[in-house]
Amino acid sequence: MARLFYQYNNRYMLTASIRRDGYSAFGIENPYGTFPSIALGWVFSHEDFLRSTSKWLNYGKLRLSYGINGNRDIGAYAALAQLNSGLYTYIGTNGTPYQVSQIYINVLGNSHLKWEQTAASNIGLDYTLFNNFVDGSIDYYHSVTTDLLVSRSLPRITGYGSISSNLGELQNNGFEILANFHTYNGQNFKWNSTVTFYLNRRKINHLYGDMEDVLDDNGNIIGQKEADDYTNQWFIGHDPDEIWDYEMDGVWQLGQEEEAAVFGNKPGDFRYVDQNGDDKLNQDDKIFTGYYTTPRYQLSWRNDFTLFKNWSIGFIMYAKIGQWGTYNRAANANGNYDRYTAYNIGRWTETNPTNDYARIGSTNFGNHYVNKSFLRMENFNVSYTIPKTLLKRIKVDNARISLAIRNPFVLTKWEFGDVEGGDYTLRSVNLGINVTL
Amino acid sequence: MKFRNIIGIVAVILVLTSCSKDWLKPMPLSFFSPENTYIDEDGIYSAITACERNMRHLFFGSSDNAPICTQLELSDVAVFGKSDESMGLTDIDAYLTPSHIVDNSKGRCLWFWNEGWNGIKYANIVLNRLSVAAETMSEEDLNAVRGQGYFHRAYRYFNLINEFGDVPWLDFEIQEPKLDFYTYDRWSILEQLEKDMEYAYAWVREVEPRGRANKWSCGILYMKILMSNGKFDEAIKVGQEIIAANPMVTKPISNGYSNLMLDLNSIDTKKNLLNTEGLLYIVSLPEFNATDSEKSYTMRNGTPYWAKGSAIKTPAYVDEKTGATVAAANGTQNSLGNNDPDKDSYLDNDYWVGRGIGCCRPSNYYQYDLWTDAEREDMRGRYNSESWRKMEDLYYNNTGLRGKNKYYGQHLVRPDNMSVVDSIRCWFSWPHYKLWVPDPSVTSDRRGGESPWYVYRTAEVYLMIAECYYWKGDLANELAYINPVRVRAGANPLTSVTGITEVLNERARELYYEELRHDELVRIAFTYAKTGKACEAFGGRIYDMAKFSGNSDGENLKQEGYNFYWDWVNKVNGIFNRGVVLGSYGEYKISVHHALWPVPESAITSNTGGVINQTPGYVTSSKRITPLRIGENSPSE
Repeated sequence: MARLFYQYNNRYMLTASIRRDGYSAFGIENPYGTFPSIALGWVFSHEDFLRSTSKWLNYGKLRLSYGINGNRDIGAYAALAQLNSGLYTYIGTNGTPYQVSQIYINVLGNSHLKWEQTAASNIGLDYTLFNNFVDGSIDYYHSVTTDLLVSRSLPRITGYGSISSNLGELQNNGFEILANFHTYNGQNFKWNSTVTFYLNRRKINHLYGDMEDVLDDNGNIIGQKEADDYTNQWFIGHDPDEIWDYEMDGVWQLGQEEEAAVFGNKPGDFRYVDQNGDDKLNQDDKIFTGYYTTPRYQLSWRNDFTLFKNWSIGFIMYAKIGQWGTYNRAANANGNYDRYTAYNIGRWTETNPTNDYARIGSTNFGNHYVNKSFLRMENFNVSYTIPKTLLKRIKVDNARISLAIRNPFVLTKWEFGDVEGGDYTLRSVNLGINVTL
Repeated sequence: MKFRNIIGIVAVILVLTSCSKDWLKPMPLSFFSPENTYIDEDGIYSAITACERNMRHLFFGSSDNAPICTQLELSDVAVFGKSDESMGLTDIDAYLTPSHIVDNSKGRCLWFWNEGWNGIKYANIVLNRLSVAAETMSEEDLNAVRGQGYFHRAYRYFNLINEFGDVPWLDFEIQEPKLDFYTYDRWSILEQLEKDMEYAYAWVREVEPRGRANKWSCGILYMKILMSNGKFDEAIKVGQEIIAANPMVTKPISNGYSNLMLDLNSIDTKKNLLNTEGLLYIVSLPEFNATDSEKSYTMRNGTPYWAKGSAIKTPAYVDEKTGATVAAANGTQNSLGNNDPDKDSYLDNDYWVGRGIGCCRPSNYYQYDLWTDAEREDMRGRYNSESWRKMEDLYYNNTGLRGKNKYYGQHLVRPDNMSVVDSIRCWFSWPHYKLWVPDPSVTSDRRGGESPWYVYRTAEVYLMIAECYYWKGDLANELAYINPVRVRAGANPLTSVTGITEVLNERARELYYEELRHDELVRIAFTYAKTGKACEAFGGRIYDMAKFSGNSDGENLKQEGYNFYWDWVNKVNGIFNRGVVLGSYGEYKISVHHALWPVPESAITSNTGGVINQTPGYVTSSKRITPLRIGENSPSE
């Protein structure tokens, strides 16, 4: 690895580096990868031609960078075929039982495995404005990852479900804003605030390079296009987190018995749209629902207040917007309801014709998705530093009382369990006294 | 201009690589790889053992609703009975489709697809690596193990073509990703299987340990393939050789069993070398359960859910003293507690028959129609109280009833108001002699422990020879080969036969929970369609390959005349297509095209480089091509 850093006149900066790594998991054919990078910085606020703006533009730096990074997050022997073993019993030709080994291949090797590489370019702006009223940064990045290390699905006919493989090309574009506000700085009141905003969009540009025929309505071949991976639900031109599934359409209601029976459903079952009207619910009816499993936007907001020099109050909130998750428990179809207790969640009944839950024991052919966007206050804290004048008498140097609440509240439509995972949300309240003698 | 030149160089000189490429080669220290395993006879046989263990899963695997149960549930002898599962194998129109074919307690059609290809993979690895192992093996040993590989590949392919019809043909070891499979014609596959099994029958040794295929195992599969190809004389010849070398067991072999059938199906007799009837076994033994355990779960799957308290209640009765009706209390309990004085006594149903959950529910055909006056003494049948159990043999033993209800300790009485669902799952009679397997490792909730199990035995060969004579039109010889099986079991010999009915009846009596009933019916259906022989069971009907799966996709046709499988199941099963509804989980319905199962949608879409046909009759938007014949180049070559 080699690295070079050059700075001129406190304004112009250049960093360049290059490294070459080898990893034995790729050792059969492609053990090495080469990873260069370069970055430029320009503190334009120090330029002579911007001297007139120095009243409101205290600091401004423009950053540009480009680099290639490698990822080798795969097992050390992933390129080799692996066998599983066990024992099996026989009754010998003399009548005595005995055991022998069975050994079978359960992982297919791939000698062509190689480094995953990400080429990322970034343009950013660091700023300080209005006499240090606000400072922060704005970044935009565009990165293209090639040869992603994935588990590529294989037809079951091969006897294998998947193989470790390098997948074509995935692109990430994103945007980050950070702003620190030193909002008020007075004798009896100080207030600082920090806001961040983050968005990221991914898109698959290439998969495995398998080409398939494109047919027109009459079944004639009119061209070729790259094949998608239906088993993993990775589609060219789409975000891998985009949900491709049946379109939800509420619940079959009373009066729709005949329509529902065509699909094998009854009133009370979840209903899905038969897109092509062929009275069958199968892959042709799956669409890009427009939902994603990961957030579209993330924000956070942090505030710290100091009052009358002794009180400090602060809180942190964050929000993730636009992610959806499956909630198939709403189908009430996990069986054995006659025999054990289960969580009391909503259900469809003849007198409660909801569209959000199915009847007990429903037939559910698809997945039920619920919006998991949320706003959470993660932390709220208050503390009081006891004035030294009061402490002198009891010979205490320092004393502070504090109250901290973790997870005071969450605002979300997700009704069951913690929206970020887990069956329940833990909220804790801590009251503390800190004393120095 | 002052030129302040601050240069900071942080440099680490890279270690110029003088390392060879080999330095980074992965070198596993302690696991198997194909290159260090499949190089000699022991290594090759370890792959054969993988095939055999995979075969054991067919009968014992997955605990609830083992794959063998699916074969019975999609046939004339049984239906799916697990009434707490939505989307089980009841409404086959709705619940067996290309996008909904499953391998779980609701049904195991997908198991046959997935594990079929696994078994073919193991067999192809054997056949591919023989050339390396050949250096250390004699020619006879090499041919014998090649025959073993052919047997296991043929066993899976024979099942696949009777379950899915036309399927891809794969006869080499997969060593890198392949996504361009094409469908091959099942008749072409059958021709290839016939050649492979002719070789296997010639070279596999006559004597092998139980658990491994021997010459005679190869022989019976060879017979089935010959029969599928219309070569009945050759099949008869092979069958007679098998019978001559492996006589049926006609006298008890072990001690302590009340009749010959209980003896024949006991673990002791399956282990005993005096048992000349078993041709192929899968083996699982309680003494090895620490290292290789697979329990049979036969009672759990095949006996009724008698412990369902809400279904099996005592009758309501009038209390003489007060004249009031005492509320009906729950009936039976599956495991009396360890402190219970009645545990393991005559009252403990679990101790005597095991605790079932009614997954595989015998049809009235199998429970009643098969056992006529000619079978009064049949040790395989309902008239034999040692061999069969009916619900009235069980007891009310709920400890909560003791001292409070006059029915405590009495035999069960069928509830007057028993629901349809409960009568399917919780109230039927069953072949205890076949399904009972003791489990010394548990003290309650007996599900069926480890046991060897027959895959093939001589009784089946007799019935196959009888079937061959039927196809040839020789009813006298059909009779001559059915009767020894009947007489051995204690039934009266028949005086005449009409045709296929007697073969199917006798197979059902003899081979319940042993034969792959769905596949056998489909084999026979294909033989009718291929040969055009008139089927006397349906008034001389002649079947046609062109109409085998109905007229068009998505029809859900329920009409006679298309294939023998549907005609026979629809007529005989008694629950399918009769308006019987399993609670909220669907009406039992089956259509003509369900003779064959749908190819999973994922198999077709993941195969981006080639075309796999969806089974006819199932709706699909994928295209279908003319199936290839073995030896033709696929379009991708």
